[in-house]
Amino acid sequence: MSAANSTSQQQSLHFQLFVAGSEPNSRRARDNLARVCAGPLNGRCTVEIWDVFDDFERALAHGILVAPTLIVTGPGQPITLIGDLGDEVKLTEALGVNGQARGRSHG
Amino acid sequence: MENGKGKPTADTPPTARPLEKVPTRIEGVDYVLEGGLPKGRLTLLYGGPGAGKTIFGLEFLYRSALAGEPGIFVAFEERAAALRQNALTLGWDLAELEAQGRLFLLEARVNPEAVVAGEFNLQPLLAIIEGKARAMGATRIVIDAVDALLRLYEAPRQERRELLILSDWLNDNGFTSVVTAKLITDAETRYEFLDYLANTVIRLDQRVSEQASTRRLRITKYRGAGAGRDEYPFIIDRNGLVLIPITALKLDYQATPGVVASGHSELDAMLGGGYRKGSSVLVSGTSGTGKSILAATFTRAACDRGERVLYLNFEESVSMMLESLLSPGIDLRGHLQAGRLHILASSVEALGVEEHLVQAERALARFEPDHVVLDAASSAARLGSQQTAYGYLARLINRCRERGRTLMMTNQLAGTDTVQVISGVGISSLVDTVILLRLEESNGELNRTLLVLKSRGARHSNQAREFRITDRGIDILPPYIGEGGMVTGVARQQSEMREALEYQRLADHIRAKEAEIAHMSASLAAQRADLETAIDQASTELNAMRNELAAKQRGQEARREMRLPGTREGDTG
Repeated sequence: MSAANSTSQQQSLHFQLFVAGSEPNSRRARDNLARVCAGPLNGRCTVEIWDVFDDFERALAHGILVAPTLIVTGPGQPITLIGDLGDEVKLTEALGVNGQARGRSHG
Repeated sequence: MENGKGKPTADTPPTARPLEKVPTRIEGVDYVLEGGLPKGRLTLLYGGPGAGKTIFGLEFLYRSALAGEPGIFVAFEERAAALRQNALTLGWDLAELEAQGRLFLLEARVNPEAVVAGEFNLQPLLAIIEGKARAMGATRIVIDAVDALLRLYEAPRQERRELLILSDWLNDNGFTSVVTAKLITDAETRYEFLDYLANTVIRLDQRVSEQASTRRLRITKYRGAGAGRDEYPFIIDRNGLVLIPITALKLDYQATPGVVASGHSELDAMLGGGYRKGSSVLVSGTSGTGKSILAATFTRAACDRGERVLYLNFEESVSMMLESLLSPGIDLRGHLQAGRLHILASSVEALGVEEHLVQAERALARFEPDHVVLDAASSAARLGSQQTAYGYLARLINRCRERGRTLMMTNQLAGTDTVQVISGVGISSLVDTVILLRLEESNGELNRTLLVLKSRGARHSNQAREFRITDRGIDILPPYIGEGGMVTGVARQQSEMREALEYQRLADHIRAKEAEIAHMSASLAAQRADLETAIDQASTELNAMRNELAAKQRGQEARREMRLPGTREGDTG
């Protein structure tokens, strides 16, 4: 929990967001993720969005049971977030932005 | 709704149609469910940890898949690898069925480290199930440990909403589904609404009583269809789950016409032709009266006629049984080898009652005997409680009766038992024929007598007849009192003598009983005197101990005063 603090803010994060069509939670998750990318992350991120209705096999392969689910890869181990990402405190805490550490460090 | 003249429209709810059922193919379960699970509906399966929910669900899909009906197992708690491993111990090769596309294990464990950041729903899970179901052509879904999924949700309201969506979705898609949930103390009220959503509710539980664990299955709800309402015992043996249905005992059953020869013509005559075919016969007697020999006589006669006999032996091993029957001249080895006789020997204590039942049921189903011998029914009392023994015997009697199989049971009487009691298990009302064997010593002579006490649906002799065990089997001696017939000459003299002897014997018995009571009274008086002496002695000992204690206390006080002079001022006494 010690090292990742400053480095994570320099490195880019990769997001895989699994949504369920255009149902409200999924719509909100897209919006909330876009806001974080543009805001605290300053564009240092790439985003893939997968619709489970179009590709259930991918959801299966990633063990996605609930939507929306966000898988974050970058420095350190991948993190999984579930929900519409409306809880901004939890989201930024987990991503380690705004001076917060990422939820998990390597080592 | 009014569309044409009474012609049902496409969207008319199919209320008038009887509910279609899908067989589970689990032994005994479909019998109790009167066909199986409701087709296209949800069945809720409750049970505590280890009650057998997962096995029930898995076996349903496994057996369906073997029969060509694919299914999907959604495991919220267990890993797929663990499920495959556990299934293998039951002889089920899940991996093979998976490879053939007839079974799909969906490991649905939500990453425990996932961070919950806002609202979510189960759409991906449903999308996966739907996609897989379509690809496989599966219509059977088991969702195991739905409670594990619900732990994700913090609010009960949200939990309920998701379950509602899930159950609606399963029903809308026409899946025949089984959803299992752990029954923990507060779960009953917590998931009460699930009962309402489910078409059928089954409860499994496991209890430990009298050091034996018993599993029970109960159907608490079956909307729109009949199902057994009892609690049914079940076991999980090496082939999976086996439910033991208790069929309603039909005492007014139609007796199968015809008689079965007992193996001895005199006995046949006493029975009014022989045993009733498909009836149950109880042979009672104290130890050594020849019950097993009578049963073996019947067995041999049946096998000689080419009929099949299943011999359930609680008393001795197959080799011991065969050997001990050789001395009274009954050789069953040939019949055993020829496959007309099947002996199932196991000690009562070796297995639980359910295993015994299943073993017998399996043998009945596989061997399809014409007759069954149980030696000894009285041993069933050692299966556990009286109720357990009763259940076992009632079940066996019923099973035989249903299929027109003659059942002969031996019953070992303890000295004081009345003749129709099976060591405390009162099944005599279920039994059609009772034969009593007695071994009596009188006037320095050992006499065996045989009496047909009861024979439902047949005119039988009321006489006690002397019988012998010879090296050529049993031999019943000619009667000495003709019933309604004339007995003349020497025979009459003999009969009168025997009658006098009979009176004499009875008088002897009365005197012996009087003596026994007098002895017991004397013994009671003696015991009372003994006890009074013992009480006196104990009282004396008690007084001595009290005195000793008082003396020790005085000594201690004296020593304390010597060590600590001055601390007890004023107490100079």
